[in-house]
Amino acid sequence: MDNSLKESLDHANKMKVFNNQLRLLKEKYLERNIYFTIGHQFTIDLKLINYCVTLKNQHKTKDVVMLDDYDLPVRIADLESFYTDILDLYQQNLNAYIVEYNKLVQDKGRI
Amino acid sequence: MSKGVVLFAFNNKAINYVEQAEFCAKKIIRHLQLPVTIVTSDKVTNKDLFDKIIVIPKEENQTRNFYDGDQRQKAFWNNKSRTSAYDLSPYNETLVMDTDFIVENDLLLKVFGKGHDFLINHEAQHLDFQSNMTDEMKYISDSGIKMCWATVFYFQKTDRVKRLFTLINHIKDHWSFYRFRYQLLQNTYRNDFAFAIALHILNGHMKSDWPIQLPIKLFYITDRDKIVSYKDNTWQFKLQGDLDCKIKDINIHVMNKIGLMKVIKDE
Repeated sequence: MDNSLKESLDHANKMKVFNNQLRLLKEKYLERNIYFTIGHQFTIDLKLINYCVTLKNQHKTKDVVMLDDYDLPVRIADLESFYTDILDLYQQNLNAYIVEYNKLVQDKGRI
Repeated sequence: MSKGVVLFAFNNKAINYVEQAEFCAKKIIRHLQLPVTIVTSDKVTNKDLFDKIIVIPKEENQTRNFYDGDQRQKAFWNNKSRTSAYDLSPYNETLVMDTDFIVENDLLLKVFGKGHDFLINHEAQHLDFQSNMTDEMKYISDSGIKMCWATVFYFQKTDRVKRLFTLINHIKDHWSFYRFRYQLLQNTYRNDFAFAIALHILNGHMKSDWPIQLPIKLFYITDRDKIVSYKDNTWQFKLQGDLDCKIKDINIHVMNKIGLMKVIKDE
């Protein structure tokens, strides 16, 4: 095998490891965005956050009915506190995500 | 409401499950700060790690192969007492875990006091996302029902959960019938399958939203994947297909029990 081909294949192997690590990191932070409340599960994403913002803008903050991850209806007594909880968790996870992501990209050459 | 973790550990000639349980308990105490009960028939050395030690007899009536990469050992596999978790658990809210499930974060704390009575994973993810094993293990057989992973599950003592465990015990006691009925290829009794079958029956033989999954992704390595090192809570693996993989702060089901024993010995 000539050297340039070997270099290409080595690079491909490094990228395989890097891409797998990146996927693991993504899953790690998606996993942390799961929010449990009153027997129901919500995955915090932009859709959920925006829905809360829409309700808040319309001043509908008490006894709001929402659908959980399994499309089951849930009555949220206090939307303000629900919104604060999910947004805090989301932001906290995003901050941790970017720190680890930058580290992974920085380390890419050494993988 | 009392809450805690129950571990089942029965040593065989290949694996010292009690030592594994001790390692597992240290991780639980560190990340979840929960009391741990061990159910065993063997001698427990580090008794201080456990809230309670429950001694029950060992049932040595089935064997299986245990791998560490390419090396193989055949030994007894005592996995049948897990179905007694409901009766044995001293807690109102209980997490049951395999001793080779290593807790590396506090995500499991989300399950307590949130109104769920039973939580279990239907999906597991191999650390190599290209591995076809993840897809192959979605169902209990080619034409069968959805898989269920009894590696870690949560329950509260409710009537519905009591009925579930009664059914699981019945399935265990009539394994040859249910194995045939659900078209399972292997003879060996496996908790994952018994739980999946019981949930299917209890839900009226239909797909249902109960139980929902635990708030964790169930990552695993198989016994054909090798553990390269474990240091400062960072695991390094050489996965089948020579893929290098490193994880930190991710819960992991280390199915390579022999490899895990080597890590524990070096701790």
